[in-house]
Amino acid sequence: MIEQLPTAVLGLTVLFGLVAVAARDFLVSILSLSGASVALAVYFFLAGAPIAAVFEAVVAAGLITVLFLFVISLTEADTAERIERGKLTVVGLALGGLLGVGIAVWALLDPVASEAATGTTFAQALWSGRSVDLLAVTILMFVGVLAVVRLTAERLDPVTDTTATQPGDRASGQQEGES
Amino acid sequence: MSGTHLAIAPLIALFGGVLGAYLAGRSTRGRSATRPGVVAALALVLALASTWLLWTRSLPIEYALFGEGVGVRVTALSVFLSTIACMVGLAVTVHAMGSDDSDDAADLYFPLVLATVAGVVGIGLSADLFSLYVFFEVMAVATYALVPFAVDRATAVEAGLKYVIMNAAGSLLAIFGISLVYAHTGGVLDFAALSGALTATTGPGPLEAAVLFLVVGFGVKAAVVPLHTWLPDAYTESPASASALLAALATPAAIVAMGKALSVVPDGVSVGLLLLVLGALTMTVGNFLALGQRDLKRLLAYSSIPHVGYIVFGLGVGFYGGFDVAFDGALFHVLANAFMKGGAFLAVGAIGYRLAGVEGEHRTLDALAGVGYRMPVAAGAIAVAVLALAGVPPLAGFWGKLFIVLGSAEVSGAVGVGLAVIVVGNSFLSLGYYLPVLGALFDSPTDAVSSLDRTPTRLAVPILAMTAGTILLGLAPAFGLDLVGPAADVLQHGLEVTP
Repeated sequence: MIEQLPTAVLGLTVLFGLVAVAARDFLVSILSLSGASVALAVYFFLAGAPIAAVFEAVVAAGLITVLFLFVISLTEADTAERIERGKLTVVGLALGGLLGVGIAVWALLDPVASEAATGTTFAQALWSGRSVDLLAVTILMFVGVLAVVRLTAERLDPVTDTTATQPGDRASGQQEGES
Repeated sequence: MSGTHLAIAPLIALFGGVLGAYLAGRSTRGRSATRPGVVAALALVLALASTWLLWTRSLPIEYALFGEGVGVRVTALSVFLSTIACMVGLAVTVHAMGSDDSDDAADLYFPLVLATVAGVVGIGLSADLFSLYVFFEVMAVATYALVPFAVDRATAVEAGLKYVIMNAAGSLLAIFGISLVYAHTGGVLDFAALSGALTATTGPGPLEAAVLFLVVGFGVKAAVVPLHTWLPDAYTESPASASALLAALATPAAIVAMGKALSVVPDGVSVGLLLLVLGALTMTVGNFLALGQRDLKRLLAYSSIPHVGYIVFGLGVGFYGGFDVAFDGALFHVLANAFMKGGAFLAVGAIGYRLAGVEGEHRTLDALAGVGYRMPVAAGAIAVAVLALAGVPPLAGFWGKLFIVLGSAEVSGAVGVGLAVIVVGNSFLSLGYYLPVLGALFDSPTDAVSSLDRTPTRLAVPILAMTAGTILLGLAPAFGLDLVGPAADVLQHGLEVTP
């Protein structure tokens, strides 16, 4: 079964790719593309190219997904509205999940480790080489989700906060220290 | 805490601050900016303190979070970038706490500010090209959200879209350049070994292509002409504190990232000449674009382009001839630019804050006439900043330009004189748009300006701090050079680590 995994992962890549092209929903497209990148990263790793796998996972699955979400949030009102109405949590979880699943699969299928306790060798390979990058990408994804929250929510549903400071108050400088 | 653990402390403080500020913002009733702002400021103070402790240790320090590899490498360049990033971040955070920049979304604004700072700190700490790229992206993604933060304003969203698309394209070119380097060296990306690996490999062809991709990729974020077109809109439409963060920190940090990536390229590739040409083009075009601008914030935005040019030009002279003084000048100007641009944009933000309730147009120099009499702190800070930006001695902007001119003059013959004349000429050219700013600030007040009250204290504190930095760095440049000199040595001589 293990021998057929590269083929299965490649099949999954194609499947995700097809969904990304065929889906009418932008969100499904973006997340499918991200899934295809994660699957491709796993394949790279199985094929003995760990750095290419890291590039693919971080840049394609992580960064590119965030950028697509940014642009969709800024331009596509319908999709942005649906993100705003509660899909954002799903998007965040999906992004984290995709990355997590990718890393977990990667951990269990380390070809270098083969018969040895695979987790340990994976940990050495991944954490000693790219530990700070993984930390940074985690923050990048978190910041990306915060950004999408901002870019979708208030533009579509501006809240008139009557308790907020009125602009006119600022010019008067009341109740504020001055220099 | 051991010396090695200390190496990662600034990053951990800032990453912790990102999460902490978000949680503090979410737990605050009414989305007040105070609690997340205080958490962000504490994280920045911690990061600054740990940076100072690192500065007192013997550098470089290598450290990996887990295992035995190299996760981060603390050099004098790391300390330099971290110090600037934390100081600017602190000023921006205090300013945002006192203004309405966070727009009732303080739980999002302060984490984004901290992530930008963390990205810059990470650029300095990165031990290899890929880590450099990842941290560059952390900085970039955070600023992608800060530019269109006022999402209910169409012009801000348009500026944000332009910024995201152009910079995303630049990022992809940068990672392509990195992958070319990776292929060229057969899998080496670590700065400690990269220079040697690149020298050992034959044939400059792919390497020249990689250099071009790196220059263009990082050059978009650095706003090098002709890749600068996103900058005026982005700086103008951002909240004032975000503009300060972009102009004082993010854009210069992109140039330093470019310099760090190019510092490993062997002499056979004409990196210096390429940067010289781009630097001269950037400062000249930027100055001409700024001439005639009447919108104060837009004028300051345009005037950021020539300062990018000075820094790139300084690095170009340095790489071209290996002149210490040119590297010193480029990095000194990065430090000075942080105070000058930071102070100027924060002061413009304070004036905008007071004028927000006044009807009519209030962004042009004509509308702001006489504001210096009503808001002396903000207007005085702008006056000091524009004089420093023009290179008037003895302010901070003078020394960086002087070192770059001295470096240019070291190039033999008429070429050296010509290079020096380009820098000096551009400095005089910039007076053409800086002097009208001074004139307008202390002109006869308009009716709208006459009713303004003084700068709010919470906004005045960071503005005065930045202005004090501009003046003190000019009066005592030796303090700046203590920080800049070793960092410039790292950039000049590569990042090889002696075991």
